[in-house]
Amino acid sequence: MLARWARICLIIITVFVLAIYLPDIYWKAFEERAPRAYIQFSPVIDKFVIMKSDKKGFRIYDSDGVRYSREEYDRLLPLYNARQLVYEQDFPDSLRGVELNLDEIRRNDIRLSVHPAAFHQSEIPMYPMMESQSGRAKLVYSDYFFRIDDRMEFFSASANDIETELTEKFTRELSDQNFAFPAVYIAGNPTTRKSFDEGYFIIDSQNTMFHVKMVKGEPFVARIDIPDGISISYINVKEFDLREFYGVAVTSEGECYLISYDNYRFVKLPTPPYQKDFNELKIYGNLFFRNMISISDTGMTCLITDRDYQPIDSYTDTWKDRAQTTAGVIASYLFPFQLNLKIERSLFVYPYLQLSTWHSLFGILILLVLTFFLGKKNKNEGRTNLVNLIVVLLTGIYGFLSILLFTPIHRKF
Amino acid sequence: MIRAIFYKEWIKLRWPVILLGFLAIAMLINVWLSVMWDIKFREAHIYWVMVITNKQLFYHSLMFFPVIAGVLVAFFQFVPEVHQNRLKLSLRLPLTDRLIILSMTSFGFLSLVGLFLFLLIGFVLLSSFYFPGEILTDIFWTIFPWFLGGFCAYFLSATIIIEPTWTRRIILVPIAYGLIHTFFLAMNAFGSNAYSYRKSLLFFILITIFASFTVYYAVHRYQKGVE
Repeated sequence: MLARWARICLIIITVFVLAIYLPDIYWKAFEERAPRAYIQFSPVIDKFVIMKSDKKGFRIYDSDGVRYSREEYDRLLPLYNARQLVYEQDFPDSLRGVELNLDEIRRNDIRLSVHPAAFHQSEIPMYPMMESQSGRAKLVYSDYFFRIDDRMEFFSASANDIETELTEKFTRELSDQNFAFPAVYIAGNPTTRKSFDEGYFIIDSQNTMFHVKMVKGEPFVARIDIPDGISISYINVKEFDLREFYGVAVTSEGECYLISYDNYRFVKLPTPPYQKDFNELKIYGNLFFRNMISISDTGMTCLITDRDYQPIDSYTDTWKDRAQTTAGVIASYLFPFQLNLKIERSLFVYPYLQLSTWHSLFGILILLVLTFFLGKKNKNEGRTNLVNLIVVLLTGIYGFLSILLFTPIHRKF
Repeated sequence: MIRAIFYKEWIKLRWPVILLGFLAIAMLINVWLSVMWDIKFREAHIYWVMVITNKQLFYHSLMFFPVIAGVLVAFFQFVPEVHQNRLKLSLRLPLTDRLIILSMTSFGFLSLVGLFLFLLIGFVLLSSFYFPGEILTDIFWTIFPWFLGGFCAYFLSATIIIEPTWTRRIILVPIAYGLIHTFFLAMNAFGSNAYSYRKSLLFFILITIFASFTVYYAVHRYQKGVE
């Protein structure tokens, strides 16, 4: 009995390993992926311009199908190719009635993204507090980290101990503004690779947002009322010289709001169809437009708006996802399911199970028949044969290989 | 009788376990000297940023210890048994073979538990001088899957060693490798992700439990005299 169970355990482990590595090796050998199209919106012709390289070759065309050469392409996107055009001494003085100045172009060039993994990860709940007005050009980390449970505790890294003065100052300031401890969510941009620091956006237990930063060693706390009904899951804080918004907040329903510098007003961001757990959202901006791009496994949609976020135009490009390629179809016959311990849209290690289509039933049927005939060869192992059949039924090729590899105890190879 | 078996196992494992204990101490000293050097010459808060924000591990080298320990303990416990067929004699003792094997593997498992606890407690104690509780929790969640991988390495190594046929042994090695690899997936290009295994720890504990039973498959094949 134990011997039978030991064999089953071995089979379970082998199925687990095969279900991960067989598809993995298969895809490494046979996966085909077309490079993604590069989609931009031209302020010169007011149309989308797409650069694509696939089986039909490399080509550049606009949303009406008109073709362009590489040099013409550079001129359709003067803001994006500013450096190249200046190098060629062909940079326009003005565009759309606005005088073009390289510094202004750089200042208005913003990019921000929201990746599905942002909603599927854990972080260590200690945050570095930077001095936001140190009087120095370069940002440096301070010695202090904080966490917020029943008060805002500051730690000194060099002493590995609580820094009481800062703790009391900040906690008092937060309490004065009716902060409901503990904090539910803390978002910031802890890096020194930016020109200035805006500290943290913290949501308390009563769903009120606070903007907290350290100014000349003293706490700066601003209370922000979140508009009704919005439940924020994630905030990507990013400091831009443009100082239009502090960052983008994404709600549990996948709606996006920009937190503007204008008194922390929530500006609803129009997006193309976007599911926060499956799509990557990229936000680009330049002197004239805003471009919101939603990317999935099967395509991408770009939504162009003006600087006031009024939609102008949109463009969708689709491609076959892996399951729809020839290799993918064959895989659906071969593998009844695939196990992945890591996937792109999450930072957690977890047995992500991907079931195949009904195609796999063909494979399972063939293997069941083979297993049955194997069983006939060993007539006196009734129960083992039953176990084998169940294993193959449930796990297809992985189970079939396992039962072949690990014969019942008493049999020699 | 079980005490006698434990004593026999202890005689086999005495030196390997002590040596592994010293290896653990050496690894701890190595890691800690590096950390202290780094904190002295960079600043403490840069180090904290590396660990908290960039999720870099300062204790990479500890990663290898559990699997090495698991394989070594299995080796020193079971190779002498299999050599010259001695296991056959052990299994003729007046106890069920289940109990005999259970005692043997329990002893090996408990030795590993002791070693891993020693490493964990030592490391957490040292870390508590320099880092706050949040980082210590993260350390635990990062190291624990490695320990589970070490246990799987022990059980599967025992299975491979006891398995009588070479063909099966050769088949088991890549399967064991693939399985153990799944416990070390939280490492990415520049470090580790905090609490990566948080959602699947029970699953991996279950896998380890399944792995523990596979030893009996090899033992039973050994007993039946499979060539």
